[in-house]
Amino acid sequence: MDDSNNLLIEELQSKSGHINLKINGVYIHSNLDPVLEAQEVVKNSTIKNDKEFLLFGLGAGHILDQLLKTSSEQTTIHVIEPFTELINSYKSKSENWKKNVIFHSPSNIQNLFYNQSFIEFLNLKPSIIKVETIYEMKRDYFANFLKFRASNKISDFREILISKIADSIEIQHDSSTVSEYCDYIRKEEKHVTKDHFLFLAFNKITSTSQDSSCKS
Amino acid sequence: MQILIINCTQSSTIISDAKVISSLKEAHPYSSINYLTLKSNKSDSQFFNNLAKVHFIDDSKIKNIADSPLFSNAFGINELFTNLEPLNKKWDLIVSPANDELSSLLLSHLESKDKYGSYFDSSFNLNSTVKEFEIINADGPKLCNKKEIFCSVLNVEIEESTSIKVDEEISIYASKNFHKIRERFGKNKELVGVSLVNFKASKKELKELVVSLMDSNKTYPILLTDNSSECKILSDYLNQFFENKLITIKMEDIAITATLVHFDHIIAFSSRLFELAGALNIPTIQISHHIENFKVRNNNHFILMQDESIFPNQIIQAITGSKDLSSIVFSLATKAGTLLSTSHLNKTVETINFNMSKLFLRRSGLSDQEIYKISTNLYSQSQINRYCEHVKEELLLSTKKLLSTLRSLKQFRDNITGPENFLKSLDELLTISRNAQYIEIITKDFAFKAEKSESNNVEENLKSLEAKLFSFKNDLKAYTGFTGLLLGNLNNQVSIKKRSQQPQSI
Repeated sequence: MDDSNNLLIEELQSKSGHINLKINGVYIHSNLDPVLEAQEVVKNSTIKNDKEFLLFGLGAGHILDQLLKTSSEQTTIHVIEPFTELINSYKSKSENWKKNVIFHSPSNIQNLFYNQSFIEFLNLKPSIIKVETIYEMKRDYFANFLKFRASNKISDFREILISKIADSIEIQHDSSTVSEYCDYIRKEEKHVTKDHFLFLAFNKITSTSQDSSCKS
Repeated sequence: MQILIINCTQSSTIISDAKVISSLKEAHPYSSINYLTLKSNKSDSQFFNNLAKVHFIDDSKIKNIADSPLFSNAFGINELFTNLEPLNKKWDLIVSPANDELSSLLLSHLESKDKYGSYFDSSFNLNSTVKEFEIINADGPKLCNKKEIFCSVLNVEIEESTSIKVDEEISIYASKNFHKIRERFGKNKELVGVSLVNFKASKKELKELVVSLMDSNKTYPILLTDNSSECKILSDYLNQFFENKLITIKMEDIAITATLVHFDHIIAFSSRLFELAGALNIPTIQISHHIENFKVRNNNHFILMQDESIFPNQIIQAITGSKDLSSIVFSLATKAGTLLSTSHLNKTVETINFNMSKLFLRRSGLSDQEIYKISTNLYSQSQINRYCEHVKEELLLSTKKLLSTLRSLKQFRDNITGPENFLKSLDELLTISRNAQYIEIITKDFAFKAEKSESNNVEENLKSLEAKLFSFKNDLKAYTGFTGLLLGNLNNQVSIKKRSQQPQSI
């Protein structure tokens, strides 16, 4: 979580008796009836995929609870909450999330894209629901997430590679893409090893795909 | 003995490896044979007998990763590494019958005491067990008889039986039903399976084909379908026309081979059925829109080009033997721009381009006169003439450019524009070489070798290029010489219109 030094999170009781939160003076949910508000949010959301949900913000967890109430056992929900304390607080109070909910709170949102299963989940095109106040408070954080495009420069993905493969690429090729590296192997490499052939094979399989320094 | 077969061709042609696998098993009965292919070929690889294990490269997952803007390529590389990890052991023998580029790269990646097929060494030079493999890797002509070459290199007999899995229970059940069908329609009638899978002709043409098969006193058609809605629409259409008198068999994957074995002939658009029937030795006609699909799986198999003027009557004639098939195939092929050769159903169909090239390059070890005799037996004079005209045009173009490239090489250091002129000329020669169709067996071989710069030293590269250019010159000369001989002999019988365009020898 960032901004931790200047962060003031208060837990309040709404008029309906349900929990509400105030972060740095801003109410996160309706102070009249946060549960009713959550019902309205879910009801009014465009839900094209009812098996996968991506929640931008957790807050006190009213929207998540609402989703869990209406969803089936096959439903998977990923929650991105920039304030880690809110996740810890929610987990300590509720058991519901243990079913199919995965929480993320990376300080650097791009780190989420080191997680293959999370990207595979995104490729299923989940329905996105926002906790509007959290989203507005952390607009840049979520914008970075939405704008993310994977880089194909070796330096940018070296740490994701299986170490044995990563070790086989010399540092001098860090600014190259896989395609450029394969060109080098074909034309200039003096001693082509079995690891090099692995790259060439990968390049051959994906040769119809785009290869630029950053994917469009 | 641990044997691995690699075939990463993305098509149903992998089914033709069934005979290679069973031939190897026959030659090495105590061996453990593994097979590596793309996951997109999974449904086809299930038909193989005699395999200890099939390994897959998840090609669609790797491609999806590469295409997705969210995934870094690292995930794809890791996936490929994980797919190949179980194969990272010392094999006794790895073979690559298809010899496509991906298979050759994987053959180079894996370790084995012996390797058959094409693979790269640590200097990225291509090594091959036979010359033809190099040419395939140089993106040269499609080799129709890879399987035969492969088996002869491995010194194993081609095993014709037990290569494809046939479900025994389904087979017994199917036998009973086919027995009833034969009793009902007369035992002298040949059962022709008309596959509606991927059927690309019009409904009218399909109806005509079935009507012709029904009307013939030698054949009876049975429709073969799968679960697709397209098949259902076509079979409903036909059944409506024939008042539900047609027999339709819906084939699940598990029942395909057990069903196919009961037919006398198969007519198909789907290359999968074509390959399977081929592996089961059932005479099959594949109807194709695409010229590059012309190929043969065994001695009973033909691919016909769909054409309004021949469809469907000539197919019937081909099956019933009422007309010499060669004239049908020739008329089709000539229209399509590719010349094929066959004299009857039991003769091999191959593209004349490749056969002639092989003959020209003396791969057969025959004398010029013997080659001439075989050529004239295989192909009509007008076909050879037409082929030679194309060869002449390409030879002339390549030779002119080759000579100007050699000249510019000599002038490389004469003035400041020397290197630029040479590179331009070489580039044009490579373009011509890559685009050649009729003499591609030598031009693509040259282009492939010339594009590899082996050294950082300019002088060494120039010397190496010079040697390659002269070797290319010799190949062109041999080709030109024989074209002249062939045309000279033919001139006694057939006039050649464009005599003035005949290339001069180099």
